[in-house]
Amino acid sequence: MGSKSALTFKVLAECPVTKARASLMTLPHGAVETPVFMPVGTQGSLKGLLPEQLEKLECKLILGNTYHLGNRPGTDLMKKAGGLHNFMHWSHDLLTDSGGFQMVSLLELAEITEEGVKFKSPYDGSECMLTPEHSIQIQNTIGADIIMQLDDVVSSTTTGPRVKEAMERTIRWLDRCMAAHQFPEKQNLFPIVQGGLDPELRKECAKELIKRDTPGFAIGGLSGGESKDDFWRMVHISTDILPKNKPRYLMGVGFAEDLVVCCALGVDMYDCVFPTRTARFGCALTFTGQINLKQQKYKEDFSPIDPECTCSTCTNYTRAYLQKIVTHETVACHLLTVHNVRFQMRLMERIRSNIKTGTFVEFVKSFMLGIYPDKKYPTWSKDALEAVGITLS
Amino acid sequence: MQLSFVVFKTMKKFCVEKTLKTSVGSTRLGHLELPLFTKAEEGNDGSSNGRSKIDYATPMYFLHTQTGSIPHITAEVLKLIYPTASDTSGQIPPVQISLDATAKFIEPLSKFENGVGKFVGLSEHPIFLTIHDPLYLLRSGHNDKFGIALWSRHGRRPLSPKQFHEAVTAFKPSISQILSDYDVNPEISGMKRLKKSLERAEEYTSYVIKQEETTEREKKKNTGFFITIEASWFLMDEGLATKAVLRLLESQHQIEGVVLAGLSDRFVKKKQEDEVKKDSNGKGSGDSERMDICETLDIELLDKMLQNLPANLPKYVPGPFKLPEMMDLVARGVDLFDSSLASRMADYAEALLLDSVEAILPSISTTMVAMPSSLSEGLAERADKAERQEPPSNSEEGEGAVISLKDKKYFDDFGPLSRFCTCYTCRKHTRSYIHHLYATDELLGPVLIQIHNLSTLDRFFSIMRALVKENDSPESLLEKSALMRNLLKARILIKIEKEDKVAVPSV
Ligand SMILES: [Zn+2]
Ligand SMILES: [Zn+2]
Repeated sequence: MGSKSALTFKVLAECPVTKARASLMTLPHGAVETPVFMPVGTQGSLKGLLPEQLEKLECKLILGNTYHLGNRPGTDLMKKAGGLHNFMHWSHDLLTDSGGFQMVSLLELAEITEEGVKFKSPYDGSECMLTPEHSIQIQNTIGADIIMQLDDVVSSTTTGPRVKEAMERTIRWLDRCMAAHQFPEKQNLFPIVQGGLDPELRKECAKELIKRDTPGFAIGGLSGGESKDDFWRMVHISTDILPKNKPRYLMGVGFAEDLVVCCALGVDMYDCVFPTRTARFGCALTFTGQINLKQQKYKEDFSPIDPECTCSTCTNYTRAYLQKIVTHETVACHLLTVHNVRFQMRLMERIRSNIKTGTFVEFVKSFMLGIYPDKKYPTWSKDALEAVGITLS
Repeated sequence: MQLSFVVFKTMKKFCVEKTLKTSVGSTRLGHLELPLFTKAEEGNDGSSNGRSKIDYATPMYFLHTQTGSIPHITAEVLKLIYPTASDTSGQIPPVQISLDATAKFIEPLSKFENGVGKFVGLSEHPIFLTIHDPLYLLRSGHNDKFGIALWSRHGRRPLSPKQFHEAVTAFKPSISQILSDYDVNPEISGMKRLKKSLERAEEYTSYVIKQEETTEREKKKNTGFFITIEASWFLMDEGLATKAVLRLLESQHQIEGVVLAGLSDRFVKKKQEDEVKKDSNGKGSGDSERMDICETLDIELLDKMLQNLPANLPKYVPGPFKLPEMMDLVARGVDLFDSSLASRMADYAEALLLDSVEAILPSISTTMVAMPSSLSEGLAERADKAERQEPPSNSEEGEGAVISLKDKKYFDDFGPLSRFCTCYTCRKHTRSYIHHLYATDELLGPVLIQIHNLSTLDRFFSIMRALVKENDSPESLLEKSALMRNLLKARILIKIEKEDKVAVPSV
């Protein structure tokens, strides 16, 4: 089973101090350098950007949501269109989630049984069931380069036997997903490490998943309201166990500081709606933190969002003009989305190049100083970085 | 009444290249030269702000903007619609910016010094500063001796001639419309009100010109001014209106063009206004303020307005007129338009199709209207696509000049918006995908429709220019517009049966 894979992963450089590594991940629709951030294009488009604009931003791997695409336009049309790549005219790589997380978080009445996730259709109220087999079947039709197993998601703050049950069920569902997967030679199925905030359960889950020899691994069930202290420890434990020769994907993480810290902990892939969602509220990302362009202080600020950024927004537009149009012209949303996606790409580029040149530790220190000029670093990032050999002082 | 017109020190140049005159009207081809404001480069002496000039063939359209941006289209995407001047059907359109939604720019722009074009990210386009957004309705009752009322999303804002002059100084547009007391309504206003409006037109115009002359000497600026003439003046008293217009033109040699305002019904309908009053503090809400696509054109009124205007001035009719109406206006000698039609259609998920229109324009071939040089690439890509997916032919039936992508029949239509269009959208995306984007309220839907509609509008204007060049008479143009109108009517009947309620996607 495991020998069939549509992914090669080559570690190009490793940080001599931390667990960070720079690698080349080759997928059916092209090679991607990691660590990589994947913007989320929920329903087959990324917040008003043309595929060509994403290419110019050097974004070559984006995420689509199975739950949404399965509803609209639906699998029949997706099949007719020849998959999501064709449908949205995207020639680079795609990743789809399993749809389970969306279902549990969007639909109040979702109920999880051994068979799958039971829910009431938001369209006609009828009872539906998303099984591991069904999720894979939809993802096979969508045709993304990386697809995700259906996992039993519990809130990261849940405690007690339910966490163990969810972890064990996730492993059982992985086996069902693998059995149902029709195209292992062109789509890579990733399992998801669960186990809540319990280090032992996380380890047990990771060890069990490794036995399946999948092309890569995801770390799930985090970034959902748990303390940052718990968060980094769970990531740290997971990357300690997961094999070095395969990509590790931390789901739902995308704040700049989290990305830098988690790269130090050895994570290779990330996704998050934050950079694109925040754009619509007038928020722009920079290396010294976020700025909200709604603020009056930008009224006569004729500089670009970031003078060092080469995105089309920073080339053509001033903060003063953006201040006039944010939150009410769709153009403003496009402009900030372009900049914010470019920011994420630039951040990852910097991380990769510093790993390759052996200067990652210095980079982390100067990055942290950039967002905390008063050196009042959050305890969790100090602790996390300390754990992999970087001391912030 | 004949008018002798002396061109004094006009910086902008409009010249009529060709006129086809019959009893219907004078259809013409012209050239409008617009200066492009560029700030002096370092090293130059500070006073010499550079102005390079761009030559435009008329009839043409300005790109319609809201708050300074073309709806849904960023500067980056605009370049995909009009890649370079030589690569398109001839010209990259200049931009129209209205003061109603951009009055709040006056303060920052007075410090910015690079002009409004650069400020809104469109520095490569000459700017036409107008007073009102052609897609925003006006309300009655707030123009007074101090000035006029501007209406926008932010509610009402007064604009005095002095503030207008400050705006022009700060915006540095290539051309600007002079403010006008528009609030004359034949159904409500008396003769006293009409006379007031006409008086103010003279007052405003002479004030603005005088101020500009003073400033011009100091700063070597050269914004050209268009006077505004109001349709309602002519509805109330043609004699008085004509006299006033002639006085405006005679006394001011600096006038470089005319805005024929009020041909699209610019006022909030009485009923709507009552509703607005009921539910708010005067700011109004939502769609009651939005101008709909203009289906009709009062030709008699237009002729009255045009009658005494000198031939050497370009004439601009603002508003979202449909293509046949635009052609009627061209047949009667109107030179300038705006793309507000495309902006409005993007809200409605409607795509302009010239497929059937081109069939009734037999003399126009690709050799006459320059096609983008990316055409070959586009067609190759298209041919490649066609091999893979044969577009279903059923949805092609009954298509007039407009299709609504909200229509469920496009759900699985993998053909392009138009089979003959080579725009960016039609080369890369399908009707099915665009239908999906609108069904899911994704922001990319209006972007793709806007790209296609602006490209189509551009082609339509090239066709109209080519028709006049080929000596198509005004009558013949009117025949063609009548044919187009019939195609549209056929389409509208189908629409009424099928269409769901239209929702405008929000940010
Ligand atoms: Zn930028
Ligand atoms: Zn097109």
